[in-house]
Amino acid sequence: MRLSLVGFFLLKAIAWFLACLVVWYQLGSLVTLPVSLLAKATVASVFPGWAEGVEKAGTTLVLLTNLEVTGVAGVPAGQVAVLSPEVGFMKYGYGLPLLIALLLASNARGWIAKAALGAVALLPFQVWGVSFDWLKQVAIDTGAAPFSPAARELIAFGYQFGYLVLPTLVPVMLWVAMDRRFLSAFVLEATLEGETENPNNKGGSTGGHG
Amino acid sequence: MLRFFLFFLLIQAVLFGVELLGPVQTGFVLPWTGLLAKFSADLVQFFDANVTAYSNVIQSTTNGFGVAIQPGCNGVEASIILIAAILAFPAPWRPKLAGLAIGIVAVQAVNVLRIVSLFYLGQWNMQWFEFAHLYLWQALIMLDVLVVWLLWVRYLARKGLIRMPHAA
Repeated sequence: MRLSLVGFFLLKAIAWFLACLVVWYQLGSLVTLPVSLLAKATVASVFPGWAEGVEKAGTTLVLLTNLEVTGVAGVPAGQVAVLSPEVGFMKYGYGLPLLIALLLASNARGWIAKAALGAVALLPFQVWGVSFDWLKQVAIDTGAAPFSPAARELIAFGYQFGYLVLPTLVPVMLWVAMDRRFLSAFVLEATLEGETENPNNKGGSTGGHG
Repeated sequence: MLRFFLFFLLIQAVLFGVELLGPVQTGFVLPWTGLLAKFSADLVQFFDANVTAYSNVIQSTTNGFGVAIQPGCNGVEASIILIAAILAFPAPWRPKLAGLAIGIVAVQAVNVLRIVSLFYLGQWNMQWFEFAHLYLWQALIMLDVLVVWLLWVRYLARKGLIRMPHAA
């Protein structure tokens, strides 16, 4: 049986993703740098009252705050500590190897330029993930900064969305947007197959869809 | 294409918000996660009798190693993305419903494979477990969703139910 375009695409995507993931993982500290710079600018402008900066240690991003906490894990009873929530960037960053793998698997024209553009386009979503992770620690885990119950709900939503959905969804959406040629070829092939199998389908594409 | 993207994002954000509501968590997500753990353990017991499941945990009775299936590992978010992609795509309702039923089963089947593989990977090497859990399987599940959606679009095209999109 001939391997379909989808099957061939899937195998190539998995193979390329494994290769790109290993390279990306080795470059961990380097790929963390742009996010740390953007996150630094973001938190300083969004929370000027208590966020004082961002430090990068390898692939870990530390939010420096002036918030004091007591009675939380790691702080001896009766002592006060300054909160510095840490986030491992990598769990928000693996969209880049996924995007490159998809571009390579679909033989996208100009894939290097598209990958570079995609890397930039992914940055705000990676900053979203990292920032909401910090916010969750500040507002929900420790309660160090005063947020209303509604704001806490929004932070919980933003954190879950940024952790569970965005890292994998955004690269796929970018790929669909950047390589529509693949989708067109794919639909054309299937349409022709359908017309060969059932000539009554010819010209049967349609309006009136739900 | 823009209309599809906007509908897709809207449906997905709404479904994801609904999933996080307390009653939905207690009434559906947590029971589903427990069922998934039980099903995965039952499946593993076909070839490994030293496995048990309780609540959302699968555990080895020989070395005590266990994995807890947490939000994000129960396939619900991946299913939500597939549901949004199918609902947002311009197609008749009957193939949409068929695509949803078959697609969700396919996503959950791969998710069970993910749970079982992580359960054994963790007993072998925790570093590889973390790598596979945090990065590898996350992306593979999304590839699964993408391929299921592509196969569904292919079915629509073969049946003459969609127009040819314009290439970029």
